[in-house]
Amino acid sequence: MPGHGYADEEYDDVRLLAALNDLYDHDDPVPEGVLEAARDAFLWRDFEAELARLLEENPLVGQPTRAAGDQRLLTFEAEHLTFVVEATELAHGRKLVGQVVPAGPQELWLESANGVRTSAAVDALGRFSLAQLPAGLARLRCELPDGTCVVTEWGAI
Amino acid sequence: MPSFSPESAQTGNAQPGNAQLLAAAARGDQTAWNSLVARYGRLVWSVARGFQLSPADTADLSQTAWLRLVENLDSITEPDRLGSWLATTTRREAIRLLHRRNREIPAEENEERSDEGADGPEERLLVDDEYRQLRVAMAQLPERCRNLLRVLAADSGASYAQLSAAVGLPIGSIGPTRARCLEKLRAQMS
Repeated sequence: MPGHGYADEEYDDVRLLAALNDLYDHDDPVPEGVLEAARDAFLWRDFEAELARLLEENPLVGQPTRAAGDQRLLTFEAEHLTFVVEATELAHGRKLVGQVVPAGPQELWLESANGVRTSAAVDALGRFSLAQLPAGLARLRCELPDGTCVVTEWGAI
Repeated sequence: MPSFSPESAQTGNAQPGNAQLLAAAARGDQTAWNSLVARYGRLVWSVARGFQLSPADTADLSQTAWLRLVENLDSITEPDRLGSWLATTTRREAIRLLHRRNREIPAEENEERSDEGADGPEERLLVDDEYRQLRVAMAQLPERCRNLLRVLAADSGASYAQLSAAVGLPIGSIGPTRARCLEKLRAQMS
């Protein structure tokens, strides 16, 4: 047996997989922008904020179609706040209508992973709406009257 | 045997393990985070690419997986299985995206892959010669084999759990599938 410590067939596999890895690095490398975005994801680290996790995601109509505009209902829940969000895909962008429970906060923010931040007023019943949102990953952030921050999980909301 | 070793073993002695890097990242160390991206960036990309989405969607999937890890830095209970965790997360997000798009999950046994991307600029001709045989052989394999072998190639230390998470096959069928796919590939090459 050669000195590499593998049985011959395993060694052939290792060599074949190494060649395959080179092939993919050549034909379909990880784009540098993708790795850069992965490194930059760290900048969104936020220890202070409470994380509202996605509980459920349901299409609002049985078989959504592009023409009608896809609608989804998303529920994010944290210990101190729940976000219920209806997301609508429109031809010219996305729209969010939702409610935070319990009511109390007067403002919330949509943060895009590309760095854009949009604010929206929250009414006395906790309702809010955001229109003309860009595509891509985003999350909602809300500050409670006692100063606690709650953010939703990232997603294509 | 490389395919059975824990994921941490691939890093060798000189490099910090996942547990150290995760702990450092949780303390705010960007360099430690970058090391995790260097270690698993290709794995996440390989899993995302298996769903044949647009380049923008594939990039979003990768970023979502890494943002999820940022959110969960404190709750990774098995650092040695971080590769599996990232693969599972990427796969789950991909399936969620496909559902949202009202699209079918790619069938395991799919039609032959198209030749897109196989032609390149002239300077690639020489390298293309080296790879032609392997590329042609891969194109003959079923979708499931291509995805499994790609993830395996991206991380030769991948555990069966990680491969299972990456390609969505039961852990018990990974061993036989891996062997069968490698055999098919070798047969196509000879």
